[in-house]
Amino acid sequence: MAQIAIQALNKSFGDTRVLEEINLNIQDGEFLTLVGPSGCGKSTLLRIIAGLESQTEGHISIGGCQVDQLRPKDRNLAMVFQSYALYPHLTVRENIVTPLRMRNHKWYQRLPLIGNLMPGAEHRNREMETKVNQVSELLQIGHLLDRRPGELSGGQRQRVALGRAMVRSPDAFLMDEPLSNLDAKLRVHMRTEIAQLHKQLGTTFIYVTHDQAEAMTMSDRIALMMDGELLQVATPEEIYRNPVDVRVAEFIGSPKINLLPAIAGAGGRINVCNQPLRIATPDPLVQSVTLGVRPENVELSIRERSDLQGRLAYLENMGAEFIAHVDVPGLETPVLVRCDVEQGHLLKLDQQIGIRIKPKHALLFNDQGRRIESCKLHQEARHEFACA
Amino acid sequence: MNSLAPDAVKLNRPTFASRIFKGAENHERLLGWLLSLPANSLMLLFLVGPILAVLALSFTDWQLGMDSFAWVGLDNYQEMLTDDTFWHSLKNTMIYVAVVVPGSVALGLGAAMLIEAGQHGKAFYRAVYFLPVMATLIAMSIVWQVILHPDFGLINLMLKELGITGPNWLQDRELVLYVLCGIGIWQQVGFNLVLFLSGLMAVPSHLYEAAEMDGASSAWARFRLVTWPMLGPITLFVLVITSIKAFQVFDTVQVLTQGGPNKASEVLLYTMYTEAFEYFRTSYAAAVTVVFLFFVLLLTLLKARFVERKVHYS
Repeated sequence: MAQIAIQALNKSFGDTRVLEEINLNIQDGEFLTLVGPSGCGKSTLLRIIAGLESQTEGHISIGGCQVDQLRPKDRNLAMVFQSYALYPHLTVRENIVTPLRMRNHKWYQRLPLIGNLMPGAEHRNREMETKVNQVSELLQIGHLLDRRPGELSGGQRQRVALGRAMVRSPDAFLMDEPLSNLDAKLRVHMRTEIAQLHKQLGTTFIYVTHDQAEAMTMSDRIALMMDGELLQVATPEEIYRNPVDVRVAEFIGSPKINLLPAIAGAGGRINVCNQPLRIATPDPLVQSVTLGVRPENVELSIRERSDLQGRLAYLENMGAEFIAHVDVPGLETPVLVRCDVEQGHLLKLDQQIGIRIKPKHALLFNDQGRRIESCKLHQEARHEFACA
Repeated sequence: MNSLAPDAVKLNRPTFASRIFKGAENHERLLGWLLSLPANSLMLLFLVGPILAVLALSFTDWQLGMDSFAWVGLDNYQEMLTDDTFWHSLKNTMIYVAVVVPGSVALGLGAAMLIEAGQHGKAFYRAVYFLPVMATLIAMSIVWQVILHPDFGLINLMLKELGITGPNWLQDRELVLYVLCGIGIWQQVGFNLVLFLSGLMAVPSHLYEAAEMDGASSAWARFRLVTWPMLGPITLFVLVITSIKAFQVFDTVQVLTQGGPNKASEVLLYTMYTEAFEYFRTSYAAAVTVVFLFFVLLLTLLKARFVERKVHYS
């Protein structure tokens, strides 16, 4: 059992609050990603869970036991560091075996030479050897065991760091941006490997990253943090489709979501650049809102059927699709539209073009950035200003 | 060469172009030597020259002020083998090195770790420990002389308060060498401490965190797993520098004991000094110097050959 519960956690460095009222329950065997921009407190939270840092207020329990007073060693967690933190003077084998030696051996059993003469040494050594071999086989680093970290590539060091964490079957793995020092191609590859490793081991993973793509592809659930606050905890699907805050919507997704300043007119009908859309808010008190719509939920259209009109300012060819940047007069940033290859090839730069927003997928946020309800207006009900 | 004459390379036969290029390469090499000639000749003259001169002198019978000299081969060295003073000073020097090196390295490392672990006053402690290094040892020796005076010295006065009659520190044949060792350690600790402090600051903190996660929770386990191995290069450097400095012990002996009582604190450099500048036996002093240089060179070679490879990990 390694359910991890974080209750009302606060952390301040002097007068600066870095974590505010964090409440989070992590299920046994779950892959949870803490994601957010740098400086949002996600690494601090991970280090508090590990015990490397202490919280100002609040509690952490692992498997039902409160661990606030326990040292990192006694929490039975393993951590993979961003810089790998391998011991440079030890070989790969010695690096991997270190957690076993440190935890399972008394100090006199660890003495060089003499330790080998202690009763039971041979048995212990054989046991450790078996574990190291199991781990190195799983990670395919068997041929590197006698090398030093300095002789390994970034990806190999990464695997050794994983091996050192895995060797003693901890209750949970904590990973602090483990892929950010790798090149782009290897990062994508290791992403899959770590996700597969999680399936194989079935252990709880808490994974910290600033890369929303890593969070989306690997996790069971994503916990999105910003400015020390936990904004939303949900599955990747949910957090992408149903962000509760405009900051969540902005952070998740690439290319970024379109955020258009809008005004709720009579009957809650949403206007962008004085153009009424087929979207409304049922809340009669709301006035100025932000309309969020992802690039795949906007389409290019002929003028007559369009919601907004603008000039095609730029066209990004992504290979499998195109991203059109449309400058709409009255909007500060261009509206991004995802379109397929056939359509993309027909487009010409600087041409005037209309865009249509799919009302079903439009997201509304109030002036505090919180998500508010929205509804689609039916085509025929267009002039009745009523929610469908 | 490839870009100039690719065909010639393929045929492995020199062509005109490749010969020109070869000439240019030689020319460049010659120019390099010419440009470094002033520096090289100065180095030979002032660094290698004196050592060769000392070596040559040790095979003669020249004395300071004499017009002529004769080659005497290994006579000086043979005399040294039968000279009690020389053996005495060699033995004392070895004891001095054997006490001062581990003492000042261990104390320097320990104090550095305490200062690094502390929250406040790092700069203050660093400066205080470094004071003896900056002060002239000759001047400091005079202070030590006062402190160690058998009747009104600070140490014996304090012992008297406790009801103990202190020994005559600098006149006791059993004690004197170790008193000098103590002063040597006092003087050297600050230097080692500053070097260790810089080494400790360079140890990445995430290694300590990894050690903590791996279960190395006691201070000793962390020291063994991270601090000591990561300080390897610095420790090696400190060991060699301290050893060479300990071999060079002279100031304190000259001011405090003049090698006495009864040669109990006679050390190599002091023997060399008296032979050369009191008895004017320059050639014999040169032979002693050669022995001294041999030890220093040996240490440097040991550092380069055997140890250096084991402490650099990348």
